[in-house]
Amino acid sequence: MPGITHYLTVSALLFFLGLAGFISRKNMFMIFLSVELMLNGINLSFVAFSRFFQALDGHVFAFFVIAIAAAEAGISLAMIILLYKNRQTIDVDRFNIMKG
Amino acid sequence: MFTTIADLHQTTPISSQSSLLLSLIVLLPILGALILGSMALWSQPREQGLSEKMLGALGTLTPALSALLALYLFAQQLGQPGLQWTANLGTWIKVSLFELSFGFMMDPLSGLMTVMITCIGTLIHLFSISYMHGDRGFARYFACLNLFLGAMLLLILSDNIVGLFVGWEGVGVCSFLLIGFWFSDAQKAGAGTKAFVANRVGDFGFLLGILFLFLETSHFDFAGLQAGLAETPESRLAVIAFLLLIGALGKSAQIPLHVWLPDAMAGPTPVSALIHAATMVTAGVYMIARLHFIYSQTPSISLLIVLIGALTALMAASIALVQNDIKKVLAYSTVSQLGYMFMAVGAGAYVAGIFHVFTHAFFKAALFLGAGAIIHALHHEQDLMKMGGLRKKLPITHLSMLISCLAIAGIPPFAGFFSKDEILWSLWNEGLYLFWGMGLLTAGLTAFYMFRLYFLAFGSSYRGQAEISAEPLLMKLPLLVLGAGAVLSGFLGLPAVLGLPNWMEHWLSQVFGAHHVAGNMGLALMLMGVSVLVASAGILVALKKYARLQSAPAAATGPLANMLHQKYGFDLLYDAVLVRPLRRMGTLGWQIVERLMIDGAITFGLWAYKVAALMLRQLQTGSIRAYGHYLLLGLTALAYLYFTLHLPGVFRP
Repeated sequence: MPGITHYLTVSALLFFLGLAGFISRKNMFMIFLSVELMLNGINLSFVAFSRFFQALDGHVFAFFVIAIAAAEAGISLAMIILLYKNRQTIDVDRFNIMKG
Repeated sequence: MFTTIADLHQTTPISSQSSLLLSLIVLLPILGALILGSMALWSQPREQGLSEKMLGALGTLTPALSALLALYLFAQQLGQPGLQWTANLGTWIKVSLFELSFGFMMDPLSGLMTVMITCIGTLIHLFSISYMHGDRGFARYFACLNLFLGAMLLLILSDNIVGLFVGWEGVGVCSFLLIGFWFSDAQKAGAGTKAFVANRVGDFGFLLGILFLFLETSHFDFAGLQAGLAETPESRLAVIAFLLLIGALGKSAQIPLHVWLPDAMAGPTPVSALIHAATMVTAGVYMIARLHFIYSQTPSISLLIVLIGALTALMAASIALVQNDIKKVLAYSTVSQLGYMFMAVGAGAYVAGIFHVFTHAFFKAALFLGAGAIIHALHHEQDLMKMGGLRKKLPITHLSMLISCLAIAGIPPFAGFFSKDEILWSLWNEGLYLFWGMGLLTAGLTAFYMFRLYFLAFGSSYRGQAEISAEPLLMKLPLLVLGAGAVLSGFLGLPAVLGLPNWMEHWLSQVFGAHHVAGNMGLALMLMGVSVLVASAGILVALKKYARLQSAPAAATGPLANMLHQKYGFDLLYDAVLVRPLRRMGTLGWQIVERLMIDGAITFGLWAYKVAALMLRQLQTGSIRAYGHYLLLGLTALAYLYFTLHLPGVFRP
């Protein structure tokens, strides 16, 4: 029977894998997927804690995150398509017009 | 030597009567000033100003209405001796200690002054319409002139000394505005500032005097002051009298605060006539006469007033001998005549002082308006050396100025003779023979420099190049009226010592108390003869020197003339002792406090921001992956902080 420690370890692994991807990838799709990975890592710890404390709060949060991730996916994918249409590339390093 | 409080109560019983018309005298010109002022503001940014006819009529209307009201109320007073008009516009200041109301009061003294000021003021407004023709600031000019008249009437008619002070400051402000009327000329604007600053020095003393009065009596109104001061010891009264005197010295241009008046000639000439000759400068004399119950109890201060008056009269008359600017001559003669008035009120001869204020207002206004007419005709030429032979070109001006010159020189039966001789007679009678001598010498000098002016302007032939234009009707009319005043006003105060009826003495005895001068008729006649002889001698010398002048004479040289040209060095002294050190202090403050400390601190802060921004800008790369790194860094730092602070021991090996 896995305990909360196992769940939290997996959750942290997922989160940091996502963060590593977010930092190192150049492809916008991969960055987007990394963000999803991070969100789901956090989701996992929410659910694990909820189970551990026998409280529903964590579940509620997990559903919130899922809903937000869905909305985010819709907007991000649309934006990536538009960016590609404009610049014929989705290399994130090519988009630095916000440089100070 | 001086009248006492006791015999002030022997006069006709005073009956007060309330009338709202009295407050209208003061309020009408102020209303006019508000209307004209808003018109001036309205027309400021516009290409075309409002019609001069309309503005002039409006500007003259309110003083004229005031004059009519003043004459009406004064006529009632004449018919009913002891009548005193009052008006109360409600409470002004109310605190626990006292209550002060907007009160006006017109007794025989202020009635006389009000009639004089409103009538002469109206004439000068009339004159101004043609003098200021074509000036861009026409509306502004009349607004200031109306405001001045309102402030002066407030000064005269207020029933408490705080109201008097408000009017006192008001005329100071208007004087500043009108002297610096052509403010784009730095020198003229500077003259305005000089007048204001010199007046402020005096006002400082005046305000202190008022506060001491309140400390002593807990009253501000004149009736309360008079009653409250009955028990005050002389030493305290002397301090109050001295402080108030400082104010009078500033306003009435006496040594050592006289320096502003000659420079005040930078303003338009009718302004010089109204403010710097006929009305405002007499405020100091009026104040001393109004507070005669203080000054008659302080012989030491009164003697100081006589001394200052005599010195001023003699000094100004001697400076006037070498002036070539027609207005400067008149300015110094004003200072000199004010010295006479101070001598009179200092010697306790308040009636003679006010009488001279009254006659002087007529002939000096006529002289200044005459000078204005000449300057107008010669297109702003003020140098006497470039005039001459104007008798035929400007007949009315010539007539009016001749009468006024005779009046100021003290030739009977013109007005100045009676009032000046009344003063000299009072001085002699009080045993002040030295000051009588100074007054007599001044009379001789006055006759000389006035007729020097007369012969240089009107005698011989024309020496200038400018075209001479004719005098307009609106100028002739005031000149004629004032000229008539310069002849007739003297008959109001025929010398009582000769057994003639002295209406002025009789009329003002309601305020100052009976002041019967028992004197020797023969002696009085002899003294009059002496002063007329001295005056005639002055005229004859001027006639001999200047009447047949063909070309401009060389300016006098020598140590004495140099000293006169330097105006006894007052301006130089003040410049070295006050103006330049103050200016240096200002420069120092500007350079060190303003530039170095305040500006420096702000500039340094700005520079630090710029450097910090330059450095921090490098972090904003625009690359989202860099931002990811920052996030990671921040997260790590937060986690580290959390563990070290809340869970100590986690990172300890």
